[in-house]
Amino acid sequence: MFDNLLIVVSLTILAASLMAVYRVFSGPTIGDRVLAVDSIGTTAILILVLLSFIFDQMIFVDIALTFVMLNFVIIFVVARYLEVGRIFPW
Amino acid sequence: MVGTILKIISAALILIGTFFFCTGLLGLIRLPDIYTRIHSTGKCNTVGVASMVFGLVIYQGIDLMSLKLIFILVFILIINPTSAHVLARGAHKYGIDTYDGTDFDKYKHKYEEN
Repeated sequence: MFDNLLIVVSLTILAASLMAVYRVFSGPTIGDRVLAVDSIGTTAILILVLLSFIFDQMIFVDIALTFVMLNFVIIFVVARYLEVGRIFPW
Repeated sequence: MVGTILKIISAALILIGTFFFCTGLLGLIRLPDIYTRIHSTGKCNTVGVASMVFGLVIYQGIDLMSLKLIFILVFILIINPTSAHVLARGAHKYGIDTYDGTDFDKYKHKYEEN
């Protein structure tokens, strides 16, 4: 019963992330695309956590923890490019 | 009996998180401007992920796996509002305009004074 709930929830989130894919393709500015990519990354984190409960595989949670930190780095690099104009300080 | 109640609570938390997450992604395609889109996803995705992961922690109990889930929860609660703030600030300094129905922009006024 609980596994069926998790499968339905993960399919719903996967269908909802198609809206973010639409925003990636048709965003007017660069910030919209980056924001949509960040939302897709959050969706990937949630689906990995749910899959680790569906399949009883503990290793997926570690991969989700790595994905969280990678999202952080991506957003900060792009925001620095928007604000300063270059990524590296030299 | 207690296990059944905990399962019901965790299922309710997961459904609430799904609702908030889908609402945030709907705001991503419906709202007219980059700042309103940041406003939508920066709050709704945080609440959705936090509620769903907390429901899974309640379902799992005290364990090594729930410790990792609490790590994910704390990281999301710190990182997601911070990245929304940083992206909005970078977009404003880059010069992306607000849409036509905006009443006032206090941050731009602050720029022009200095």
